[in-house]
Amino acid sequence: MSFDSFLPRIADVLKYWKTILRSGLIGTFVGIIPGVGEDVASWSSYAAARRASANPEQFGKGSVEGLMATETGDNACVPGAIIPVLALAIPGSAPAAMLMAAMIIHGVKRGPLIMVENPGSSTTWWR
Amino acid sequence: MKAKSLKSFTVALAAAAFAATTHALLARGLTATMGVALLTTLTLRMPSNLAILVLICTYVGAIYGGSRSAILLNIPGTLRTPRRASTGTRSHARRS
Repeated sequence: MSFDSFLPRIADVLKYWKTILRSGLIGTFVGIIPGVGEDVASWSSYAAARRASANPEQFGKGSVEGLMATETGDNACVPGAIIPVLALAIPGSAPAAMLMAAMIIHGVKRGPLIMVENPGSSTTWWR
Repeated sequence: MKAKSLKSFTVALAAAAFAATTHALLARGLTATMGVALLTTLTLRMPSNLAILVLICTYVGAIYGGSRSAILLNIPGTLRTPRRASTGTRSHARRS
C-alpha cells in the first residue's frame, strides 16, 4: 500500500466528469430543499450514477465511479444547504439549522438584506 | 485588515482540520449537527464574523471527514456512510 493509492487519480476524475457534474447538481439542489440532508443527496446521486453508468453491475463492488458520485453529492450538499440560510433564513438541513441558531445567538441578521446589514461579516466569509 | 483576515482564515482552517480528523479517527456517531452545536458554545466569546466562519468550516470538515474512515478504514462514522464503507474499501483494495 503506497501513498499514491490514497489520492484520487486525475485520469479517473477526467474519465467520470459527467458523473461529477451530475452529482454536484443533484447535491446542490437537494441541499437547497429544506428537510433533506446529506444522506439523501449522496443516495440519490448514487442511484442516478448507477442508472446512467455503462457498467452498473460494478456498483457496490468497488466502483470508483459510485464512490465519486456519492462523495460529490455529499460535499455539494453543504454549500447548497447554506444558500437558503443566508438568502432566506430557511435552513436546508440539520447542521445548517444549528448554524442559523448560532447566527441568531451572535446577532447576525439573516435574510435577503445580509449584504446590506452585515457587510463586514459577509465579506469575511466570501474572501 | 489583511492580518485580521489571515488570522480568521487560519483559525477556520484549524477548526476544519480538527473536525475532519476527529471524525476520521476518534468519534463514532458525532454527526455534523452535533459538532456544530458543540462548537457554538466554544465560539460564544469570539467575534461574530470569526465564529460563523469557524462553524461553517466545521460543517464542511465534518461532512468531509465523516466519510474518510468509512472509505479508508471500513468503519462507517455516521449514519450515511455504510454504503461507502463497502464500496470505498473494495475500490481502495483493488487499486493498491
